[in-house]
Amino acid sequence: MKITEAVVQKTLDEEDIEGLREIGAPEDEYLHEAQKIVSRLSGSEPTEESLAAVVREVWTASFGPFSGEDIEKRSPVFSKVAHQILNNSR
Amino acid sequence: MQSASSSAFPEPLLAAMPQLREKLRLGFERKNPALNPGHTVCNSTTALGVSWSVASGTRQSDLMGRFMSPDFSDDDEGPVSIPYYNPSNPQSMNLYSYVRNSPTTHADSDGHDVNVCDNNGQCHQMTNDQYAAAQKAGNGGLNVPTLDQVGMNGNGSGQFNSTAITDSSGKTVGTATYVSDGPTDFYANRNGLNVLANASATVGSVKGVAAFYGASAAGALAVYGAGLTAGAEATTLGDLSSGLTEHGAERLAERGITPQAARDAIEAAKKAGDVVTKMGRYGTPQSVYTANGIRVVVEEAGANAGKIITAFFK
Repeated sequence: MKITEAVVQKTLDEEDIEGLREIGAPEDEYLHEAQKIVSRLSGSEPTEESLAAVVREVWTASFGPFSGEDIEKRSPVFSKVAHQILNNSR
Repeated sequence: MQSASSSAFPEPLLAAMPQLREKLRLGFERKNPALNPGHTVCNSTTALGVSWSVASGTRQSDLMGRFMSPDFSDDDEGPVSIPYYNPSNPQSMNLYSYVRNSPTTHADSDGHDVNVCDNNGQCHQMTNDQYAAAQKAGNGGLNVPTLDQVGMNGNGSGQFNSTAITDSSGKTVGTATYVSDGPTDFYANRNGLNVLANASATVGSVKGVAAFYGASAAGALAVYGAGLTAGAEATTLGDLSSGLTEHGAERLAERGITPQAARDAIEAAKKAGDVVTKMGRYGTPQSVYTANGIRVVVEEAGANAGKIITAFFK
């Protein structure tokens, strides 16, 4: 299984966690986040949990700082994104 | 000489600014007043009518045109015995001479600059000493090039390229570019070092390979101004994107939208009434400003309140 930048970006686009695409942001809006996620995986095969943790870490750096409540609200979507990335990479 | 900019500057670098600014001030006050108008020194006249000035613990006799105590300096290991010695120029061993006995044509300004810019084009200029000290300090995981790396990134004849400042993941978050202060500048003239030495180059405060920088009086004044500005600011290297989230800073930089252009768009949108405030997906209100062909999204609450999340051409 190889997790590619294209797969991650497509997943982030579809999920549009911050709702920026829906107000007209370009296709590359989450490109950097996709690149960072793939970079941090560095070729390893993550579990859904570890991938969700990477997504959360990257997201917090890009859009944070988040309060504990903000993190809690986003946690399900981080898990969902991780799940979809793994599914789309198989 | 580029002018100093005011706002964003990496935190770790500026964290070291107070003491650096003080060092800069002390170093500067030691200079020849005639070549550095506007500086302040403590002047006095002895009973014999000999006037002298005191700054940085080194007395400079106005009458004799030389320092009254050795032009020593300290580094991390303590006092340097012959701090500015250049083996190709024996005159540099004279610790009492001011600009190698050529005060009418040179100024011992310590004035050699590095211009640090973020990805948004916001820049901050500092002296070589400030830069070198800050580079050695903790920089929050940033990889900041050394002064030598910055100074050697050029053609040796006065043209310099930008050297990247990267974060821990290798992403470029800013640049450092050497700024030559004039024709006797070491890095600008490293291809003609021997010629420079024979021409009795100005002594600078940076040791080792850069032991004899030069600087014009005009350059020195500009550097002094930059130093004061630098010390007065509270911005930092980690604050490269003040007013923006990291995502916002990256998106704006990549799309060629300056923070000022985004702020202008916000103001124009407010005047035109083209502002939409919506609830973000996770309960945080966001305002969407559209004007000047740019759409800007600003977080309105929480830790990022007031920060630009993204901007794009519309």
